[in-house]
Amino acid sequence: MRRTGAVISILALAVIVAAAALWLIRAPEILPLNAPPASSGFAPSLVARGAQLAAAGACNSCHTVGTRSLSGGVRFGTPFGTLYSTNITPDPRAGIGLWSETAFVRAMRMGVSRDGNQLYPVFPYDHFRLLSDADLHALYAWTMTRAPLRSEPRGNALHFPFNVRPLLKLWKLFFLKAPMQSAADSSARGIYLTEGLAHCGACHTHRNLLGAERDSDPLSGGEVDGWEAYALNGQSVAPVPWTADALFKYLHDGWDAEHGVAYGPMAAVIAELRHAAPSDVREIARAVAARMPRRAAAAPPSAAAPDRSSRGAAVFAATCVNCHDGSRTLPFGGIALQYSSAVSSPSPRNLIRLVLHGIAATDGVPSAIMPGFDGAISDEDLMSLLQYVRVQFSQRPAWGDLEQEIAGVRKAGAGEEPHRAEPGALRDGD
Amino acid sequence: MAIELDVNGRAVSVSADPSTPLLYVLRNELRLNGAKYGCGLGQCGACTVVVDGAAVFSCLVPIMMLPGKKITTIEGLGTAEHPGPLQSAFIEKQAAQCGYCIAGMIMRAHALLLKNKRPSMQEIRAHMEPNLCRCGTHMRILAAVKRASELADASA
Repeated sequence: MRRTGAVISILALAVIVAAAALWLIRAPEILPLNAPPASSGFAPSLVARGAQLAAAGACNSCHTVGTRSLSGGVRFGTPFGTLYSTNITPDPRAGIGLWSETAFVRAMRMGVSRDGNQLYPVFPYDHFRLLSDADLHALYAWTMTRAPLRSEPRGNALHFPFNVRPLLKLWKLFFLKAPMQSAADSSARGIYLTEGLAHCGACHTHRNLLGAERDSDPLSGGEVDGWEAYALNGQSVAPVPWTADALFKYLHDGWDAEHGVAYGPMAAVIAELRHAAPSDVREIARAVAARMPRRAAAAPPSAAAPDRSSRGAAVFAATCVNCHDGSRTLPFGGIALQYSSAVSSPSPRNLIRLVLHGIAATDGVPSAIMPGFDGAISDEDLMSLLQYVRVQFSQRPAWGDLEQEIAGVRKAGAGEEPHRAEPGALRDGD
Repeated sequence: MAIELDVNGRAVSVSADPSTPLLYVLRNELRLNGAKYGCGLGQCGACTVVVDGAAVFSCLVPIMMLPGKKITTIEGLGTAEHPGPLQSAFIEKQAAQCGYCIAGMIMRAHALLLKNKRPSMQEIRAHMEPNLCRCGTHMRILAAVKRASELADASA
């Protein structure tokens, strides 16, 4: 009797372990379609709506290299290793052409591939989880009517144990947010877009040791591709507090006179947002501006009386003033630096990157440019310049550890522009 | 006070004001007229030279920043009698129309080939992006840079 009991216990334990293992290993596969759905099956108005939503979500900024729209291959360096975005064109083999809408919706909300594999949260399903059925329906229609491209992006190179996909299921237990209640009125629409489709927090929120956004401190600033993503909450460092109007102009045009131009990964996002529904961009601007400090009645920031004696002052006068004297309007002239968040930020990183590597033109859209001075400026001159600019154009304390920050940016190099090709990702034209 | 510069491997002493852009010193004092004045704003690339291996707009860089750095202009890549690989490739591909941008184009390409001996067409395009050609000779310029990488390879 006792023996039978022991056998039953062991069996029961084995069943539990097996069930847990199965639960961990994979979600059920959703059967593939026989062929990609015909484009004619989607109403043009639905596809057009999907296009606007895809622009608000900036799908291309992570899934497109060069002109090969949505075919993936954008590189993401993370503390866990390197990932490459996937091909989400409707190609039946390389892309998601055989995915039913059910499979698409599951991937967007749960981070599970059609075949049941867990997807890495570089794909921001922790935000897309909030999307409404109607929006997902339109996004599916848009995705499935894009040009199919047969290119297989490079495989991920992740460190153990992060290369074990089933473990993501545990990650999701802890970090996948509960869906929000449906949004009806217009302020809720802005919050829905900001936290869901536009996934602002994916770059503008600090991440914890396991790569999940810190829920306790949303939109308090983050880091992406070696750039500082500025805080979009009460900790915003913008010298002139943002308003909804200024933010709308910035998100739509890529610059605002009192705040500067978009650069780094944000330039690629802006290139997308200009195709989003203006009403949605306005709602995003309103929702984000509401989190930031109110504009005080105080006078606009002014530059300190120029100190002409230091080395930094001399470098600034000979090199920077030509464009940054504020005499020409953005984006053709450089911003008057008392308005620059790069100058008032607690971290000098963005300013160092801007001086060394400049701002590259964004493909296919009007955008600001700035020449880089990497080859020409020595570390000593750069340090003097940074110290001078900080004192002259902000009321904030001096930056510490400039030497180390400069060395870090020099070592990292210009980095990859999100829209730029990666060796091997594109076929040569020759 | 004179400023000491290293231009094409030659030590030169320059008497211009320290805030003078390198381009003016190259052209007016050193008689190196390859680099051209285009926009004066770092937006066209006609003035591009190489400093310590990187392409820079010489119209924007004051000479005060340059002591101790190695400056290379197109005159440093070869002569009419003995053109370097890039110059030969630009001649072979007939990559100039009016020619105003070409010295800058060649110097920007030179900076690429110093770092990357066999760039892909995509890498060449991305790298050459800051330099403009108003004649529209870009396709020949790209072909010439590709050709130069092969010539340099063959001679290496």
